[in-house]
Amino acid sequence: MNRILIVDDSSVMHAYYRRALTGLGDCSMTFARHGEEALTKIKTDGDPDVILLDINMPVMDGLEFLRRLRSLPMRQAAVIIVSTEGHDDDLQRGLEAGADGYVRKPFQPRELQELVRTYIP
Amino acid sequence: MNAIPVRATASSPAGSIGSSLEEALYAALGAADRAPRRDAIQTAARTADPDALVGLVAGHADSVRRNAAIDALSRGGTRSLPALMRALRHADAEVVMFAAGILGKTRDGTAVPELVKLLEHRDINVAQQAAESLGHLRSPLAVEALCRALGGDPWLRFAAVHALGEIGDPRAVAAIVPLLDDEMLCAEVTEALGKIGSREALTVLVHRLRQSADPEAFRDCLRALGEALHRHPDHEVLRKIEACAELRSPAARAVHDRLSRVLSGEEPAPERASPERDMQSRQAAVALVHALKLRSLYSALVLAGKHGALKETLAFCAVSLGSDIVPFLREGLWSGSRNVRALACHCLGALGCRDAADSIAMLLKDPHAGLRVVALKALAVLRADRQAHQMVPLLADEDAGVRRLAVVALGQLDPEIVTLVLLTARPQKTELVVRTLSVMRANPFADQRPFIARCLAHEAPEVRLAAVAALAAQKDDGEIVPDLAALAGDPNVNVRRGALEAIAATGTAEARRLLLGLLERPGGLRPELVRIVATLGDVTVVPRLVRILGSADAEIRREAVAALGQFATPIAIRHVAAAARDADERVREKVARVLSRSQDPGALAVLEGLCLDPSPEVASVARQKFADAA
Repeated sequence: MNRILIVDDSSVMHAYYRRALTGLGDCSMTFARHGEEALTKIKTDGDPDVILLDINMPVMDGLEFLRRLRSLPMRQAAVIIVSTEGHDDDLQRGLEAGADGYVRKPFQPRELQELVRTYIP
Repeated sequence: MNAIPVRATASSPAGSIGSSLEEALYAALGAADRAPRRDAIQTAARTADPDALVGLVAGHADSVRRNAAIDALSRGGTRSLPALMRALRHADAEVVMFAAGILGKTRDGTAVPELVKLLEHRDINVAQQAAESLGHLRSPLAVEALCRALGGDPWLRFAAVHALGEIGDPRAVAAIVPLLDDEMLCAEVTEALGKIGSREALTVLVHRLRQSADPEAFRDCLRALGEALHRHPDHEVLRKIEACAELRSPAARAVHDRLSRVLSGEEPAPERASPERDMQSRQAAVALVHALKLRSLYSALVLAGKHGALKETLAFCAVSLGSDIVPFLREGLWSGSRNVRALACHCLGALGCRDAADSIAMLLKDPHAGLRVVALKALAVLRADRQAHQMVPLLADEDAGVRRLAVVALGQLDPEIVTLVLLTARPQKTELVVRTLSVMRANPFADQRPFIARCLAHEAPEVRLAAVAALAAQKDDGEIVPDLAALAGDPNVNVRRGALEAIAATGTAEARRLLLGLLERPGGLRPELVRIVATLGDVTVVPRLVRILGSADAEIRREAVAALGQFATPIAIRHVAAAARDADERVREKVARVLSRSQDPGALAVLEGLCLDPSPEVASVARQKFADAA
């Protein structure tokens, strides 16, 4: 079973991802509201296959999370940055810090599914 | 970083900040190290100019600082509001989006009209963020605008449905129900209907529950109904809704079967990958059976107890269903699942089913210690006196928890019956005798006296000690004093202390005479006696305590000083002060402590002298008094 970790502080986005990724089939979704919570989940539950990562979050933002994640001595999950039109600087920094791909809001469920599918084994 | 006053202007955010303190604070907001950044966020939330923080939010160069500024504005609460409202008209759509998001977190309804306007913003992400924030603010004023937004972009529609669910206004039902046909929105609309929970919303949900062939859609409806029941606990109202009433009829057999499978875990769970949602579905099924009193599912309800995580929910439902569920609970006592047996046992006890006591008592022989404990608790709650003889053997159970519960349970039954079965059991082993005495202590009865009296002379000190406690619990005051007095000279210090405390606790004149007499008896003087005599509060004891200050035993002298300190009369304090010359430093330390608490002027002079005591401990205690005064 493929495991997807969604790191976003928006409860609406959590719901959206849940619905949008339903069509992926045999996969489980875990949710974190910020980078610190996501790191804790990874340490307790293990490395997911794909991480969908928002940049702007309280406590620990997406870029800091990404840098810390990439310094962990474990199998590396594919990280997809979720960004908006005006944040190309963040996107650039995220890709330099080790993100595998990105998607811009707004996105269609099918678009997200196809992107995620490219990163799951 | 605490309380740094910061003044900045909206036009001078990151780049041109006036003072070095402000610069330091803004720099700290972008610190790589999280501890100083956290401090800076807290300080900025209290003191920084919110307009300057909005300026940092607009900075694209540093995401760490931007997020810290967002955090500070969120924590700033109402002081951030004016700046955030101004930010809603910022030229940069990103800033508008962040401001809208923060306003949702402030929980202040002032922003609702402005957020409503943003639902028509040219940037769809801004509009979506405004919808989410309106959901957080839960203002009915936003309902009409959100309903209008349902006709717009799919991205916004999703957030609008979510927000309408959060607001929970029944006016939204008619607007969102048509969206049930939208594959992407269907589950979100279902959830929103559950949160709204109005008559119309429940009617729609029940119809969909009956029509959902898809397991996931069925469970979505189930969870939504569970949410509605959770938010609107008046189940009488629910049963009056026609669609809900239909669910109680035999015609709804198919739904009953599916609910039964959800409860048992046999229904295929599409979200099996998410144990949390699977559990929510089961809890919702329990809530629905409970609310609608679906009697045909009571057996399934009890058997669902095999999932330990449902224990609390099921116990609450079963107990509130009352006598109707009792036959199914009784069957549950014989279930192959120990969780079901435990649930049934617990609920039968809580429901006061005394006629189930014999069946419950069978569980006292259950191989699982946890179940024996549950059975003991249930029998205690039921005041199952007739089962006392079956509970007594558990005083010797292999499990410590069971043994402890057996003492507690027997302590709550009829004392005469318990005494009879305890004495009939004729305990021999020391541990068992001690536990028998513990029950007697918790549940005293006159017929226990001969047994206790024999135990007072038992060779094992722990038995004598337990016997002292059991005797002390007998409510005949003075009569027990002579028996206890025999143990005042016991070779074991704990037994002695226990006996002396029990004597003092009777508060009788005889007890007082006895204790004072022991003070005078040659060889009878012991530290614990001195301590206990002081608790009598009788000033005539003071001269005797003064004499004891001349004892050869330092420990006794120390106790005498402490006892005199409790009386705190001028004479007592004078003699305590004289003991400052005692050769033993432990006595002098006690003197220092007693004098430290005294208001007597003479005591201070003596304490001054003790400040120079050769013992560091004594000197330290004495100096502390002056340090405190300073």
